[in-house]
Amino acid sequence: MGPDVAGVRDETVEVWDGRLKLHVKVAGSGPPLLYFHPLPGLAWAPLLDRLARTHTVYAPEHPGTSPGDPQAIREVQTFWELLLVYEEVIGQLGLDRPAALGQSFGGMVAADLAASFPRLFSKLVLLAPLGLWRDDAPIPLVEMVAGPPEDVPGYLYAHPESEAARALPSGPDPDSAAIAQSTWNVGCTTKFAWPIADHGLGRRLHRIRVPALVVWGREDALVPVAYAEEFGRRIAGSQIEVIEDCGHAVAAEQPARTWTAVSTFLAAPHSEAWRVVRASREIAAGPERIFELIADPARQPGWDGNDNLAAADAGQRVRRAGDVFTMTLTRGDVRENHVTEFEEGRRIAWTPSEVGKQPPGHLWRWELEPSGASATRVTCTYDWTRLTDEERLPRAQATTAGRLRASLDRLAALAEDQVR
Amino acid sequence: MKVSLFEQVPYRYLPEGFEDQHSSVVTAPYDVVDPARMTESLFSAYAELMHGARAGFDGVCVTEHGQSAYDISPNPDLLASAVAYAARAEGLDVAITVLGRSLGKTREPLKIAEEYALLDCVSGGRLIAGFPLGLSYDANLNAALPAVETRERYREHRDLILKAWSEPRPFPWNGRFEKYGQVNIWPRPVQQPHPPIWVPGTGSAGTLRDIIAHDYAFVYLSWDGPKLIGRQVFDRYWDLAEEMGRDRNPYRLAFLQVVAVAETDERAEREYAEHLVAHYRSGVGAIPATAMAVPGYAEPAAIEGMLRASGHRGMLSRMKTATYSELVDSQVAIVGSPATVADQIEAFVREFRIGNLMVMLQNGSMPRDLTEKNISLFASEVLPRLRPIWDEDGWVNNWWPRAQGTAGAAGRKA
Repeated sequence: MGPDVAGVRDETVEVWDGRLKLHVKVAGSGPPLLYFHPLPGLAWAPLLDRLARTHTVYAPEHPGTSPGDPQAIREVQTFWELLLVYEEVIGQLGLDRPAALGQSFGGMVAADLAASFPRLFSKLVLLAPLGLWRDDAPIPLVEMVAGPPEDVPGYLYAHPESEAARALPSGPDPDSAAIAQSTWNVGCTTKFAWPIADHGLGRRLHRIRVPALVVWGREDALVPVAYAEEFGRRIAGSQIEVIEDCGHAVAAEQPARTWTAVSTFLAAPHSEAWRVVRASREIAAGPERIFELIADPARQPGWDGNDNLAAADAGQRVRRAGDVFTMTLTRGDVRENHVTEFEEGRRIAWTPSEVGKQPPGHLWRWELEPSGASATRVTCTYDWTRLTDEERLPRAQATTAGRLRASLDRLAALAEDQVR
Repeated sequence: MKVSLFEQVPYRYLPEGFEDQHSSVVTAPYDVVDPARMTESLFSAYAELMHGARAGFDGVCVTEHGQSAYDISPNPDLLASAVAYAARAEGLDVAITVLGRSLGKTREPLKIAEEYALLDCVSGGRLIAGFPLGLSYDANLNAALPAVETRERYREHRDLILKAWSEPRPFPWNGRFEKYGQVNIWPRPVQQPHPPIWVPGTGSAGTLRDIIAHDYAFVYLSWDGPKLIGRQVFDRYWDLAEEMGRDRNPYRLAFLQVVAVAETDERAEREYAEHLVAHYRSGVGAIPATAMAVPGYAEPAAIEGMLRASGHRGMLSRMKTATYSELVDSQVAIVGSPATVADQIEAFVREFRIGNLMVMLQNGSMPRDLTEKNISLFASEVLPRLRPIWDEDGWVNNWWPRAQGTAGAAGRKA
């Protein structure tokens, strides 16, 4: 444990049908936050003390990494089982939608828990998580773990000679018991990350439906910063924070900047970023032509990828904010659409409502940006941040980026066909 | 006692200073290799094993290492198969010891069961089946299996192989790592229920207990030098054997020793010294310590023990800079005239109660003609002095193959 362990207590949670007694370090007060540690095990780092000022921090020790219980790792056979174990731990602790923060290996665990159990967490913070693999950005995990110990700081820090880098978790002059424990710990965590930490997380990240913050060091030599974009792209509405002059161990190398990003994100009112669904693509046609297909409601059913729009009368071409156009839905209902934003050839947004009623809050927006001489980048946004009607939520939730993408593709086919 | 010829398959032409630039395993760059010299190096290993079989050794032994410059033997069963056939075709009664296919490394344990069974058939029941765990770099880097699972895989694979050898009818296998609907391998070993099983180990108490409990032979590969650590390993072995109710039959033990023999002590040093030093520096000595223990391969108590004991661990950690006299003084290599060599070997064989001796007579850059001289001289001048050891005690070697019929070529009248 780190130097400042005042107020940290050790709880034991019995899970996995009694086969595992997991140790959880607990500190602080406030809303619950689960911390998932990196490869060498749990060290009570300054980041945890800071978190404990605003949250009740629960930091479980990965099976096998608690001193005196090395064989616990045998009880968890697969990564899937590890996720189930943690899901049980959260239940046993009685936590209701805690925030989760995971670092490196712990980031992979937290991200996969959030993807596997979409209602488990309220917020997700990932500090340079493992979990994905790109052939053009290989992760030298095997090289680091099986290489000389003196090379390890070079993988974790932008400045391996710095004071922060030299204060590695096992301390300045670790005894043989500490070395043995931290070596074993790495064996216990890499069991689920060896030789490549890819359990198909990339195919599940779209299931994450909570606000997510992804923090990365620009000079990360273990998991290259290219993965920040990869996580950001796959987690809807996630926020990416890349810290300059910083390696893999973001919280240790740039504690102040990491803390600013993390604390701001955690303090923000429950972010609704995930209720803003967005898709965009390039269409090989000028913006005027494409805009015509959107701003004239009669043309909309021709490209609707939601199978929602049936027909609209001709002569309703939108010209300004404040216009209202009428649309018949495939189910036969009629909607009045109140135009809230309008810029000819560039942008249009509207909020649908039942005839003569107030709009319940969801909004459609189309934005067109010329891209080169004869192409346009088109972005479609479905924003249901203000939607409160419980009955409408499932349908709103079903309106995924994939549906928007389908609309975009049909729109592209129509627009490009006209060009030819 | 039984005396076998043990052979690794090194590339014999590593460039000067190789070990200063490179590891001998996993990442050793192949562009140091001259393809023609690789061909020659491999061919020589086959030829030397046959030379040993003809010279009168009781057995020949090979091991498995992948992505390695010092033992290019990704599947020792291939080498063993060639020797098994050729020896039998020539009517030589030679045990074929594979030390072995690594059970903790394999992703296909049933292949081991099949290959060993085939070797046992082709050799006419002369297989000794090695069941090694596998070195960490082999299991956890080359095969890239999680280190913490190495021993669990080993145990399951061993159980599966033994059952596949002896179960008369097809059976399902629902293991943790292996799942099969119908296991029914062809062929089965001639030696039923299984060939003698030899298990190499470094001598940790846990491994020794497992070996003794199953009544396998314990193989000690003495890279550290018998003088430095033989006593602690074998004292522990015999204490545990007694504690577990086993007799003191010396054939329970197999021991590997590097030997170089010439007409005189002076000549032996002159002819072999450079090859021995280069072998240890660029081979075993150039395996990074971390590659021998990827985190998770050894349990915390074992790691702690290793750390505490470092300094008393013999030569292994110092191989890269070892001098000739250090190698000889520690008996990592026993070098000299037939009398010198025989005296030293006989002394530790009797001291540690070793019934199965393996001698490694080729090292690193040693050329084929010198190796074959070493083999011939050992077989004619040293082996006859060693063979009668333990005869007077009346022990039975239950860990030696029960060859079927004569050594003559299969299908012909002997």
